[in-house]
Amino acid sequence: MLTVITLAILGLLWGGVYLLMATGLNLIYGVMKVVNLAHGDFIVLGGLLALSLFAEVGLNPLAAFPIAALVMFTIGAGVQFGLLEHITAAGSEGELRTLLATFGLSYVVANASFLVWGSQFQSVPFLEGAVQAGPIAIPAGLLAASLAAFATTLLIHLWLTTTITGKSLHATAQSALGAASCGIDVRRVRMLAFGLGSAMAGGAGALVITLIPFQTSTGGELTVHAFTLIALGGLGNYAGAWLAAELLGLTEVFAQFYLGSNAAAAVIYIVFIAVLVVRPQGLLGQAGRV
Amino acid sequence: MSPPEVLRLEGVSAGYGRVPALHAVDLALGHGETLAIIGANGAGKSTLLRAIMGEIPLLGGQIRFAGTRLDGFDIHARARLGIGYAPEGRQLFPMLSVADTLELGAAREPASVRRERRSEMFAIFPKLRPLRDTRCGLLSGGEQQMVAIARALMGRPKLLVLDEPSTGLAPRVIAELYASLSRLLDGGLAVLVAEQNARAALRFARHAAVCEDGRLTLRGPAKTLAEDPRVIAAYIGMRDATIWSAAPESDEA
Amino acid sequence: MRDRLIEAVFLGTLLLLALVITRSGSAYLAQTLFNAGLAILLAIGWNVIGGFTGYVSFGQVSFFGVGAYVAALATTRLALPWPMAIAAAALGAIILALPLGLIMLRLSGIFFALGMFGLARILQISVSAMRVTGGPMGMSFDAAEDPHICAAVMLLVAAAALAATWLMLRSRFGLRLLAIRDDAVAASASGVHVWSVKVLAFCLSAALAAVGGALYAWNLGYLDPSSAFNGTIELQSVLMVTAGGIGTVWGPLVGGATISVLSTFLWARFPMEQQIVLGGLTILIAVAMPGGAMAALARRGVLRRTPVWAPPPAVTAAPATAPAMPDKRAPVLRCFNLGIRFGGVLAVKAVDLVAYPAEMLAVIGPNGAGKSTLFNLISAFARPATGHIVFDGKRLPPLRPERLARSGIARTFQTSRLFASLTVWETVLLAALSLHRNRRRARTEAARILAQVGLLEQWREVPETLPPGRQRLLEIARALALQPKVLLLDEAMAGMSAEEIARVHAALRHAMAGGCAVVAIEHVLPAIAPLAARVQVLDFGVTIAEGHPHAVLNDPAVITAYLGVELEDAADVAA
Repeated sequence: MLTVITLAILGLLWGGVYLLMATGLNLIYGVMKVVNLAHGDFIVLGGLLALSLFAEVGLNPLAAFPIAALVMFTIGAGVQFGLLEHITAAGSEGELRTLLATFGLSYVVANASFLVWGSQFQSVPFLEGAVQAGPIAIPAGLLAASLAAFATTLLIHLWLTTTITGKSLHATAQSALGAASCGIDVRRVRMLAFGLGSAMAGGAGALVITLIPFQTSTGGELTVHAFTLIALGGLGNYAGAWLAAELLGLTEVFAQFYLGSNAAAAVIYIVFIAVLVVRPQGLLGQAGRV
Repeated sequence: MSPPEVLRLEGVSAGYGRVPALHAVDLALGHGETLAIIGANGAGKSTLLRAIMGEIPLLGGQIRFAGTRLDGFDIHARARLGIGYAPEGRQLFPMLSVADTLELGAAREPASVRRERRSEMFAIFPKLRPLRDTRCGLLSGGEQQMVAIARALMGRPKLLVLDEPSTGLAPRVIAELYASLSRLLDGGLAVLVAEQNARAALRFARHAAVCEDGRLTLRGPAKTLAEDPRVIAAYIGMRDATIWSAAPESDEA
Repeated sequence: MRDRLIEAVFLGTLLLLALVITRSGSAYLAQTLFNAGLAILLAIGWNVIGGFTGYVSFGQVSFFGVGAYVAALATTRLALPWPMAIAAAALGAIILALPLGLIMLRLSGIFFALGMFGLARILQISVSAMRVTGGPMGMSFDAAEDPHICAAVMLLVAAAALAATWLMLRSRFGLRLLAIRDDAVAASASGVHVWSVKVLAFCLSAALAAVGGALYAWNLGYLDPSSAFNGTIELQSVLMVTAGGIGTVWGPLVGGATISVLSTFLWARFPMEQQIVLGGLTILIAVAMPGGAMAALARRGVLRRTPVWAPPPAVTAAPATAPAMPDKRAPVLRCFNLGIRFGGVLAVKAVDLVAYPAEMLAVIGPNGAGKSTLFNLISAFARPATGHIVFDGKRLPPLRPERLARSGIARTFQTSRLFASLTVWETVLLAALSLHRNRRRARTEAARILAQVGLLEQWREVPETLPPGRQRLLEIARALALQPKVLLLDEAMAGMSAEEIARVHAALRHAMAGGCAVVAIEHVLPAIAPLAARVQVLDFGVTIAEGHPHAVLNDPAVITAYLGVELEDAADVAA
């Protein structure tokens, strides 16, 4: 019983970490209907930046978090401005070309990281003790990362729903023409959204590398993880994403414990495909298939 | 002495792809004037408004707004210059509340100004006040159209451009909508409205033009056009004998 | 002629290389050629699903891996000779792809692409967990004895696959595939069974990838999960196809050859930077060069797709045999109480409609009156919430649109829905083929209808180059090619010149003379008034008037529906 409770708590905490990894992707999708296939590689890149900051300057991951986020914001906004904005085709052709471009981007980012950081698994040691809550021991690093993830996601959510800039992101997502007739520069909004989504990937990476060792080729897997989550939650649906994150965290922790890590990895993909097929609109979502 | 000019189109051609749907249209609109563009479905009314807003590129001619040539101005830049636009299909933000939607209409103003103007809008469209926290997607068609117009007014435009505001609305609602619009005209606002619903538009506007096959074929005071049998002909040709038989009969090969 | 020459040179080069490599050359050269052939084969396979069917996949490597393992197991466990092992690989992939296609093809866009990616990972993990495959450590077996033979076989297979796609694009299957890719809705309205065509294409793509995997295993003599399901193979396939020209026959050859040479070169000189360059190229092509090399050639008129078959010579507009005339008094189509809601709003409510053979019913009404929705209900593109339809004396069960189109209710669409890559001829032929299995019959019929609407001379053109009026005319011809008992025209004559309207009238009179009932939605009435026997007026989803054209059009309620209310007295204007 104690095992089950511990696993449940761990699962919920992991859910927070997953949420942080996926929110950026969700934001970008919500505004631009683009799935950034390099998202996972952005996460890894953010993590490796934190690694270097730790190794070279001794900065702890929480302090590296904003720096990684800022760097990734610049890269993300640049990608939107320099590449994706130039794909003007509408409909399925536009979607296809954007997919191919971010597909290529993911290889560029992953292999450029490989040149800098090499191919071995790397991690940043941080808060390696455990927090004892009665008979249950919770890894301190996981707790801290999970709390930071929740806080960040919450802040972003508040920013999106209460500030005028945040609302213009929503507005652009729901009707670009409507937003433009309000005098909103939708091109800048898209840059902001892609930058922000990438920043969240980078920040997530800085936290997650303290928990999971990263390899430059981990990115693809993380992209699918993040996409599974937002597809499960209903693309562009933030409340759904949160629910999906918790479910996914629980599934993975339990599968890992009872079935082993190989099977756990497969379980995630099986959940992913099952979700796509059975409930393409997500758990709470209405619109699903693109 | 005619009022200062707000909008001028000279030889404007525009369309989708390379095929023009609008052919060398000239048009001028002065401060405080109202002009209705009426015509059947597919006559080119929306194309005209889209060209004015920069939604589609010009194939020829030029457009000036308050003396400024609009070439190179994006939709948002034109909106910032002072053109309030309520596009076809309303283009509201279905998941945002009425209050938020209105605020976005003046997104570049400070918060206090946004709130002040929003109250003004609730004064003009009192029906919207109790709905301020309702999501736009849940509003009725008439309410949605009011929000679209109010949103366009939030930026204090010199010119209001409305694309088919009456589409899908019941007659009573259309009457209500145009009544609210008429109340706006005292402040010197110029209005350009494209309408399929000719009667409502002709009653509202001072001037009117009939759009047929991408050309403005009949123009004049709205009152005169309302009596003109050729207007009906342009619409459905149902009572005009010449048009009735214009469809080719002798095609048996 | 020049195109045929280029095609011959392309294929000839492959065959020549295959011949030469068996005689001479270093093992290194043989390996390089093997890799190039494999790249081309995989690109062809990817192109079938990603290019011709329009489903971008990031997991076709699944079938490559499955093929490799099936072949390896077939030789080691079943002691099959390699040729049979390769065939077994293709068969295995098809057996996997068949049920998978039924599930995965329901997804579209990014969902399909990433779903396939997930599939590849699942397979990789499963294979790692199996004992029979040697788990993560992989398995060894006897490789091809002579690398030269292996390379020659690879090149021959690639050449065969190219020839197969070339032939496919000249067959009715290819025609249907292209139509579905361009517009699946219009394809099913033309009687194409969208579903089975897609699944077939998916299986074909899987089989090609699996053969590639099997040959890869044969060449190497060793397999492990991470190389059999290697993501780099996927990247290269995608890049090769997009660089060469997605959805073209020769794109995979051009792209496959160039990219495989480039990546071999990069691998030798800059192994660390190889993938950065390939990824960068993918971005560049996606952003700046859509369509790849073949699109650039096609713009210069080189290697454009040639139309499927051609119209037979000497066609007359008259039908070969006069169809049996149905009883004009008995309605062919009756709709009772049809209704549907969209988001709580009744778009169509309790509409009755009757159509008689050899007669036109005009359905008119202002914007948003529910006319097109009504058509969607009749043609099975939407399911009614209330009411039912009796067609040809029988109550219609819920059918797929393509079944309905084949059984005699054909339609056109309000906004033009032509197939961007099909010629005028192919567009009509596609519909004719839905009706006639016999190819000669279909060709004669298609040509006859094109002659009738006066488009036969423009049979080689694609819709883009036709003026809008001709495009509408082509849509009507496509519907007529289904030899419908009921023809639903949705604003078919909008934007037509008087001359084009005359042609439509002639074609419609002809169809009606053969007993076809025409139901025409029009916004502008004069276009159909001379033909319509009855008019039905819709407003706000209900019928507000019905009867003889003149009576209906003088009805004040109708005038109000069109011009709107607000003027004091409708009669003033009507007078």
